[in-house]
Amino acid sequence: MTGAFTERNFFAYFAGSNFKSLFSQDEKDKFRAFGGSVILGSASSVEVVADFRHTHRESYGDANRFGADVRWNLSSKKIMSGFGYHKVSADDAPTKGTLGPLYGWSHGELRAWAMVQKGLLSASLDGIFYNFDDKKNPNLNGQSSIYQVVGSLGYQATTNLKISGDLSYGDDSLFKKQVMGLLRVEYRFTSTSKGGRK
Amino acid sequence: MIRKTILICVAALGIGFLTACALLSPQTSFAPTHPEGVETASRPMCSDCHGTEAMKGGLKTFESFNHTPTFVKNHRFQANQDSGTCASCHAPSFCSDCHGGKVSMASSVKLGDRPDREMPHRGNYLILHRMDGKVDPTGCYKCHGRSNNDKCATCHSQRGVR
Repeated sequence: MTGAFTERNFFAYFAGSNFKSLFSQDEKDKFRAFGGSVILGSASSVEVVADFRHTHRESYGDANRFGADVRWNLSSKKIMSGFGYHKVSADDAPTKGTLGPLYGWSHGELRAWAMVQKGLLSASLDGIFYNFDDKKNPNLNGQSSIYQVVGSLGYQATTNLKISGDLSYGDDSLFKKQVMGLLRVEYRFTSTSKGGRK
Repeated sequence: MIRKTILICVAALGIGFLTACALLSPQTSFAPTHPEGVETASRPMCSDCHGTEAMKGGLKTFESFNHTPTFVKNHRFQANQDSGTCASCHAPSFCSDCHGGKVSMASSVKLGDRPDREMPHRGNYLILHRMDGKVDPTGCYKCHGRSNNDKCATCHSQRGVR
C-alpha cells in the first residue's frame, strides 16, 4: 500500500525554465494532489494494483484519476501480460490561453499487453485505447476515441547485442490512421569490472 | 516573538536532521556485484534465496526487492534510498534507459518492446498531453523544463501555441 500528498505553489516554481511559453515564470497557481495505491496478491504470479489520485489546480479545477491493473507472469516468468483500465474525471475547463468556453477533458484509458520470451527470441504486443467524454472539445477534432497497437519482435544476438523491430498502427496527432515501423539495434558498452552489468 | 523563532528553528533543524538521516542508506558495505550469478533472462525473486529477513543494517527486507509483476510501478521506494542494491545487478545505463534527461527519441518509442514498463507518451500522446498538462504541469517540467524540449518548441514557440 502506498500513499502520497503533494502541495506546490507555482510562484517561481518554473523560474529555472528557458521555455516561457510553456512553463510560465509568472505562474501564480497553487497545486495540491493526494492519492495512493493498493497491491493485492503481492509476490504471487498474479497481482492487482488499484490506484487513485486527486489533483486540484486553482486555474483548471479538480481531476480524479482512478483505476486498476491486473498483471500476471506465466511459465517461469517467460510470459508476462497485463490489463488495466483508468478513468480521468476532470472539471470542464477552457483551452489553454483562453477564458472560455468550457470543454470536457474527462477520458478513459484501456490498455492490454503481453510479452513472451523464448530462448534468444522475444515478442510483445501492446494495445492502448482512449475514449473521450466530450468530443466537442476542439483539441479532439470531433473524434471520441483513439487507439494504437504496437507489435515487436526481438533477437538477442549476443550478450550485449540485441536486434528488434516494432510495427505500430493507430491514430496520429491529426486523427489519421498511420503505420509506423522501427528497427532497433542495441549494443551495451560495458567496461566496468564492478557493479551490475545488466 | 523570540520564543516562536526558536521553536521554528528547532522544528526546522529537527525536520532537516530526520530528512538527512532518511536520505542516507544504512547499507554501508553492500556488495558492488551480486556474489553469485542471477538468472538475467527472467525477473529475480530475491526472497527465493535470501528469505524474508531484513537486509544487513537496513530496514527493508530482501523480499521488498522481489521483481514481482508490479515491482516497476513502485520501484522508486527501493531505488531512492538503496540504489546500491539495484547497482549490484544493474548498470547505471539501465536507469537512464527510462530516466534519461535529454534523449533524441521518446522512451516510449525506444522501449516499444517493453510494454510492461508503461512508459509515458504512449499512444498518440500529442493529443493526451493537452489534458495532462492542465492537470499537472510539474510532471512535464521534470524532463522538459530546461532541456529535452526541442520538440515542444516546434509548436509552443514557433507556431505560437500557448
